[in-house]
Amino acid sequence: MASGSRSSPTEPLSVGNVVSTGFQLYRANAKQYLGIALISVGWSLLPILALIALAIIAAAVGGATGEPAAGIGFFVLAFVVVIVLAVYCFAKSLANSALISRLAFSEISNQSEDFLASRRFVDSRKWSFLFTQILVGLIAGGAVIAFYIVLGILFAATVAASGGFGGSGGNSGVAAIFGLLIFVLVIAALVFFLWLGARLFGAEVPLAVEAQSSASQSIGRFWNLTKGNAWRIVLVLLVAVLVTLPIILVSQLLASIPQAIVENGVASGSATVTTLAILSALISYAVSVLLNLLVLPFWQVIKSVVYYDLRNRREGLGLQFRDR
Amino acid sequence: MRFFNRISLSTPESVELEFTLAGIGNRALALIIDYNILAIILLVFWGAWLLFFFGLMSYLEQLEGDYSQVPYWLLGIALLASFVIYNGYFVYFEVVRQGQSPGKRIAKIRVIRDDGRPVGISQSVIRSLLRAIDDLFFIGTLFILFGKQEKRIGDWAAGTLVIQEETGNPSRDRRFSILQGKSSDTPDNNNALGISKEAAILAEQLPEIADLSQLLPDDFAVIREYLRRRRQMAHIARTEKSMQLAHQLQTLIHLEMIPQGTSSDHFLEAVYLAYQRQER
Repeated sequence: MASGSRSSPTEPLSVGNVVSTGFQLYRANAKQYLGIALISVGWSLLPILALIALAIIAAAVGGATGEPAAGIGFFVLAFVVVIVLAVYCFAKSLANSALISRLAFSEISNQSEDFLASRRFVDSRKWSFLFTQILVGLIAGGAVIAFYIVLGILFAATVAASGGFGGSGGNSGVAAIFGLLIFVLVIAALVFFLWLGARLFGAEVPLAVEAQSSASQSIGRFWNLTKGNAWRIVLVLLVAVLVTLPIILVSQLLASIPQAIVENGVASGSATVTTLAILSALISYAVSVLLNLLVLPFWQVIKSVVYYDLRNRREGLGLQFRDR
Repeated sequence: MRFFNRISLSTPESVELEFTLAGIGNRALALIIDYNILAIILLVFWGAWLLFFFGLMSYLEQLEGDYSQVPYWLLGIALLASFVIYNGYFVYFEVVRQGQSPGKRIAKIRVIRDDGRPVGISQSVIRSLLRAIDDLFFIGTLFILFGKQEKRIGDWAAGTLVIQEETGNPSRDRRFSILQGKSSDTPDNNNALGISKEAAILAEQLPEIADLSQLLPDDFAVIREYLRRRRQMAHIARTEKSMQLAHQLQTLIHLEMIPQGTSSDHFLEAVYLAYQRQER
């Protein structure tokens, strides 16, 4: 940022500049990133498509043999196979998303890497990406469950204090205190989840970038880097969401069109309602997939920029003398 | 690649100035802050207005005559006042604070005219009035995202640019003093960098045992960046970085041996001081 010729930022990036840098990176590489995003989304859609195909085949088998049981048996057997394949597909999808982060990081830190080498690198770690995702899910899920348990206890205490659902003879003062406690808990949980989200936001990026890393190491690494920077990252997330709002708005507009058509169809009674409803659901789903496709690279790039900036702040990554 | 769009302007005094444009992130952040402040101001205003309204109505009820039109007038006045607050907020701060509303100040960006001069009332009013259109369906966002000069409709109409204010680098901050006819050449505060006494002693000897002329301003900037930021760094990484920079620097300035008992941090501080003295 200090001078025009220097391509990797030396000074730490401000909140806004993290998002701007992310967008510029995305714009400069939109074709490549969107192509990878398409592959990533494709892998995640594959199990669903396979399930639909299976259902059709099963119906055909059941119909052809005249025995519905044969169709059902076939479906159950194939279902198990699809579930196993789905795990593989999910890992491939994650590896492709991580590829975008890796490419973005090598660009911002000015180390170019052969595209095929990058692809091989992330592909060799697909199971670690899956494991990282599962671990992050477990941490987040654990936090949510803990929140609901405490909330449930407080709620039960409030009801008990106000004299049960009948509401006679309870102590309304104590109930009010518990009510206030619930309010405080909800606010505190909101703050806590924002903080937790920031500290786990790019948990898979070290795995995508660094030479030596495993799933748990990657999460730990990102956790350590975000120490003392969580609220800055929350702001980055807030600004990034605001920037993606126009895309979300457009997609919602597009999704509302088939719904309007369905309502028209119902009104005029021209076609069977179920056909139209299924069609509209499909189109809405396609729109949401398309939206995901557009937004996915942006978030992957933002993760990389955040990670680069954290390493710059905490480890002086961009601080080096120029080669002569 | 370049991560920020830049623009170069020539002022009426034909001074060539280069600016970094604000970028979508900073502008979004500034907007979030400004709209939150505005929301609080408007909330307070409407709260006060409601109190006034009920007070006045209960007073009027005691009087004779037909006051049924009063609520509509009061509502009209309140709406007008809200409009004035919304626009006045941006116009006031942009004009008085040299192109910086509170949000822009925090995001470290400012509005200037296309020729680099500070914005005047007319530019600011146009920007503010067109803000509503830019906010509609996020049209302004799209203009900023995909335009080369990052101008929203209000910026095109008013002939303004939004640029980054770069602090921490005195040579660049001078641009604003040129524009405002002031001089601001503040040397770095060496106390703030935490420079030790040992380093000051070593800095005296350095010009004799090393070739400081090999140092470029960019190298100096890297040392200063390190000294400024080292306290925020993680412990192990900081030690590594310090050693790495010291070793590279030793080769750069043809110093055969770093004097015994000198830590890498002290060495970097000493080079920093010695270079600074040499420049004066």
